[in-house]
Amino acid sequence: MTEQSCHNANHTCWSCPAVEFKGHVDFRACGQAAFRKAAQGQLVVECKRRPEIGYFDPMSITYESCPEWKKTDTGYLLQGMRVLILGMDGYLGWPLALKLAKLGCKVYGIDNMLRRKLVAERGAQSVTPIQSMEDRIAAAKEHLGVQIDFREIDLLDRKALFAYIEEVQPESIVQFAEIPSAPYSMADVEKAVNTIQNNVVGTLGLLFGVRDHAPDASIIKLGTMGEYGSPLTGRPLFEGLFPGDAVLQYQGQEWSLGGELTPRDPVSFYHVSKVQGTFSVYEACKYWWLRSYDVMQGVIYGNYSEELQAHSDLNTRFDIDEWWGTVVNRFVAQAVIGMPLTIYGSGNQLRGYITLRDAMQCISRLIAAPPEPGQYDVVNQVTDVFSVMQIAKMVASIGREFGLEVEVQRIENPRVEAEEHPYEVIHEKLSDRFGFASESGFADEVRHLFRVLTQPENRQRIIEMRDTLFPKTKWSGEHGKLEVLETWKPAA
Amino acid sequence: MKLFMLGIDGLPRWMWQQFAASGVMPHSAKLLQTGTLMPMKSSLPEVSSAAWASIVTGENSGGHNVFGFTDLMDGSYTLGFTSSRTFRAKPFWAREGAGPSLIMNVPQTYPAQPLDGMLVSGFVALDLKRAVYPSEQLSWLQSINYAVDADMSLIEKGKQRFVDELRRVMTARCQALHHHWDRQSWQNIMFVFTGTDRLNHYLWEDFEDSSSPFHQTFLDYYHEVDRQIGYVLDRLDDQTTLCAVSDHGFASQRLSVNVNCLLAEAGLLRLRASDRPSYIDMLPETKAFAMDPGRIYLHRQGRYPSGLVNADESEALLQELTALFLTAKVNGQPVAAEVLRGKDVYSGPFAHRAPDLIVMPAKDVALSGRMNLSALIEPTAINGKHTYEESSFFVRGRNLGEIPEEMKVENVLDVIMPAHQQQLRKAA
Repeated sequence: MTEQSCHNANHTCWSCPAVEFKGHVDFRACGQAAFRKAAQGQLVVECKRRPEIGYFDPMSITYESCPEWKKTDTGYLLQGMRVLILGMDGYLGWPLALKLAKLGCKVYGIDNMLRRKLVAERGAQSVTPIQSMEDRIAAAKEHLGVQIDFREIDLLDRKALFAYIEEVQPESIVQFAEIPSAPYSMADVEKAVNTIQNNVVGTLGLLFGVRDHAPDASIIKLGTMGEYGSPLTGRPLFEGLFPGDAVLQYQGQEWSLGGELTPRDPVSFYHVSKVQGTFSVYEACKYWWLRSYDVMQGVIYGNYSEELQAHSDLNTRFDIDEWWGTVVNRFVAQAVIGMPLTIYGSGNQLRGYITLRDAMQCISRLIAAPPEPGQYDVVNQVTDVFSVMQIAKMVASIGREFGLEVEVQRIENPRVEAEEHPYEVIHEKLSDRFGFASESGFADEVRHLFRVLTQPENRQRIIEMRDTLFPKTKWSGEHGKLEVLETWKPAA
Repeated sequence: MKLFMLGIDGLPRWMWQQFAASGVMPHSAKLLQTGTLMPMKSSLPEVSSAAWASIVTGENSGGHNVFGFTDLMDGSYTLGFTSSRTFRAKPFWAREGAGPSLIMNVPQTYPAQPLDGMLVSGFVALDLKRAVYPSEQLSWLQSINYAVDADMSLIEKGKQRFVDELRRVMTARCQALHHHWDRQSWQNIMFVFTGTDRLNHYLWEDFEDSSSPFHQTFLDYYHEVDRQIGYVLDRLDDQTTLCAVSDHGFASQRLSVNVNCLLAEAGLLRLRASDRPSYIDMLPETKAFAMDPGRIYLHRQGRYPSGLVNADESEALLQELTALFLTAKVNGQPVAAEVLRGKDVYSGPFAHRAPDLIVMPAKDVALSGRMNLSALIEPTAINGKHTYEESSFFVRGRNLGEIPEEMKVENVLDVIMPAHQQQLRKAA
């Protein structure tokens, strides 16, 4: 157990979701006022798990001193914490469910299984075969000894969603139930509307459900680094909110920006939906004293986690096609079948990246250290910043270790984006406040991917969907094949 | 009925007499002529929770285990709020042979415990559902918008809005009293007006300043309380012992001083950095700390998880602390009038849980024991404070015990049910 695992030892019951706010008392005036968490004076709470201790000051018990919180590798964790994962069938949702269940959480999940349908409609499939949810849950029980509860519920079916929240009484809710594709949202009007409808309306409805049925649950909302865009001024990408000493100077005057939301400049309608989600969550925390961490996740890649390794029936989905795959995963797949790695435009676009394994650690740590009532905070969940060109070269280099001759191909950029831009990502909170320490580097993760994807059956599945790897969706709305600008083999 | 005990929280004896004489409280004027009114001493410290617990049990805090509104749970730094669960002596209505009792709005009775009769808890009671026994009476109370207490946050919306809320709560409470009084024959009824205390805290300056636009508001509220007292008096017969008490006196407050700041300035209290400090943030080198209002505890080894003060150094430390408080001045004004030793004040099975010192505040000064050390002088809209002296004790009836010369809150039962008290003492 390292010091890092104790990052939340001194957090108090005020941020514990098992504590119910009862009111606020000013003993100097023998006065009480219920239901106003902002009021001055002594906060009064009751522990839902230990009602026998009566009303108490939430600041006077720390996680370290509470028998309900146990030390784990991801910090102190509320024993048997009830975590509801929305979108549990997805690339992130399933490994998170396994990780949390292994940590001792009671895991509940919903999904409408839309992702499977949309990937199939695209003519694609998960490279690593995935089981039905029923079989996944059975495999989790068999190979990991954990119990996971699942209901097939659409986030937009608010009646069913609210009933499930009411039934589960989650202490943490992870919002992964969003359509996660920029090119899908740009393909046509139906897909754009579908993305906005699912993501924006779904998240908004969820917030009302949390307010009414589980107001003490922390909400871990998945955002994306793409919400910020890539400002040409070189302004650092702060973690959602300006730092306390940030100042705006204009025409000889100065204004503090400390604590204000930083500008958003989304880069697709999908990213627009994420920005809207950010504002909805931010407002709900303000209006209703909900609590949330908004996770600005970098581009994710990899398919390794300790739990996923237990058995192939526990595979998470692994998409590589234009719409549903992410760049590193797609590059490895392209390399495996001898298809050039496709770089958009100059390839100098800089982005933040993180492995699946590290992302799962981050989310687990956020769940373990919930925000205080009314607190909205943002983390930039990124470990590295690379250009697409750098990634292509690194993948090609690692591919050679597997005997693969990898070509790189620059194509006409289908997106409307800056190809040359500064990019300074601030990503300090997860390590400084949540004890996050990366467990997986780019090279090791990509080597693992090559090992998995070069398996004959997996390679065959990539070949079967070869046509879906080359981009077709143009941000401009124009149709037609994208022009190949140059193809070359990177030097060893 | 054997007993009607009327509580008027925070009504000083002298003010009751003054209002009775001046016509503000005409029913009280008649009442006071029919029995004995005495000044009474409150609990130490003079907080409602401890004082009401003494009134209804005949014990001091060492006997009933309520030393304030808050206390640290044994062996921990968890600041708990005292309740009917931590209240360890039997109130008179829970004693054998007490008979059916209707108990309404008595502080320190939350959550409602089962009894022969009905109980609606008083402050601090944040959930009406758990404030009512038997629970089947809850829905009727909800139907009249019964509130355990006024929402004090309304003071932020102005004094008139606040007083309107006090009136609303009192009206419903009195309605509830008479509704349940009518339901069956009771041996004992206890009913407490608590709006008087809230009014005194926030409008004391208006009472003292006859030119204030809220001066008449203050008097009108007491007039309304008196009107309700009149309704009660009309229903009582000569066979019923009537006891009317308040739990403490009242006086002006011009300065609220955080005792923990004084301790920190003297190097006797040290906290680790925290955005919202509480007792768990005390560092081991802390020698002493305070809890509301002026309870001082040595950070003793064996009593607190990281306490290091041992028995050998405690006497010197108590002397140092006493000197510190008696010489402390804030804005040129003395902070303490007197410093008492806990061992001299408390007796009973819980006396070992008592504070080591009780700081009695100087004139115009109120004390607090917050762990937020950001302000020695705490900003507050409160302008009236409790006093140890001059709470009210009125009694009329038969077979009363002798009223002690120095009447204290723990003597109330000795006077109104002397035979029972003597039996208990003998049994003890």
